[in-house]
Amino acid sequence: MVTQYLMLIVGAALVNNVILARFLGLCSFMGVTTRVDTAVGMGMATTFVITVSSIIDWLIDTYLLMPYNLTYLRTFVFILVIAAAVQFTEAVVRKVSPTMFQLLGIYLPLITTNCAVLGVALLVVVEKQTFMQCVVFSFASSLGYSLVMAIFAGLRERIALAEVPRLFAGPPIGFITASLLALAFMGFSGMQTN
Amino acid sequence: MQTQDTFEGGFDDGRPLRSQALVEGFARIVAVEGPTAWAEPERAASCGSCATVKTCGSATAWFKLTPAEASRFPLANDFNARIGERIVVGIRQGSLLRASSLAYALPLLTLIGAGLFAQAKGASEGLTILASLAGFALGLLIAHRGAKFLAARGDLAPIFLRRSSGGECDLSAHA
Repeated sequence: MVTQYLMLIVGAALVNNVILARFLGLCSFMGVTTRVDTAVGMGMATTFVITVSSIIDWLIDTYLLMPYNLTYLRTFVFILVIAAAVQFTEAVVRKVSPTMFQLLGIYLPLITTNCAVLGVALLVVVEKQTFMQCVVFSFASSLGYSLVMAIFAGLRERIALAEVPRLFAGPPIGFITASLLALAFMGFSGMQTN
Repeated sequence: MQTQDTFEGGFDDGRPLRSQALVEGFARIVAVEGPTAWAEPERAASCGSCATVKTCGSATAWFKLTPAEASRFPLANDFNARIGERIVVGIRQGSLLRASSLAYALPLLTLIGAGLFAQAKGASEGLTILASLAGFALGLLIAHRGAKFLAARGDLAPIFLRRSSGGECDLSAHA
């Protein structure tokens, strides 16, 4: 069981990384990675929302949509669940600590429209995973998302200090760096295929 | 928000503030009650650098749904705050990471831990789901307690840094 879950984690976080292999969540990947602290904050908030919404989506799909043959409503229902999960996350953070909400709440609006959240939820049900596989897969996928966000933000902070030719300054050098990072992550595909 | 490693300040937690990386943000004074000034953070979407920010309504709609009063926070009024004044406040980067870990990572880890434990004990899928939900609830409870502890220690409190100068803006939104 341990090996099976370890393979699932490596596969979801590194080999089939949400951002660099599945190309999901690219908006926040380019938009929020100008500083490491914002990238980490966004990454952790997204990890929470992806895992929670994937679990709720799995439960709804398994116990409601599949038995009643309503799978054509999947995308619609999942989007509603994600919006509700983001609201739930806001309520949780506010309940845990109002000060924390002030610190962390700014990332929440971005998550509602993050396609990585919907992408992971859909992958979980399409791959017909069990409940624990769904939990581990969605958590590992979102960890992979956070990892790439933090790495890319670190690289961009360093690039900001470098003398970049005017033609490449800003987003162009960002895209070049992202592509090199994606090439580096392709190295993991030799480890396992999912 | 922006991070700053050095600034003119005093001492905090026995270490000079200048040696601690701070996450800076803008806030506006909304009330002054004796030794306490109440401030509201300026609401800026962290996706401000996106090219479509002017046409994107997700953040705007969100801010309309969430009342600004919910994020009001107190500051020690040792700088003669005036209502409506725009100031720069800072929070230690370590505090931000601790807060994120506590609010987001802990409940997820207890959820996964409880689920895996139930499965290792040979529980059915229904019981595994219940165990996971119980683990999640436990994680939230611990996070609530932990947040209270951090708040009591003053770890999550924003620090007044300086008055905002006229054209100062959030650099992270335009980087």
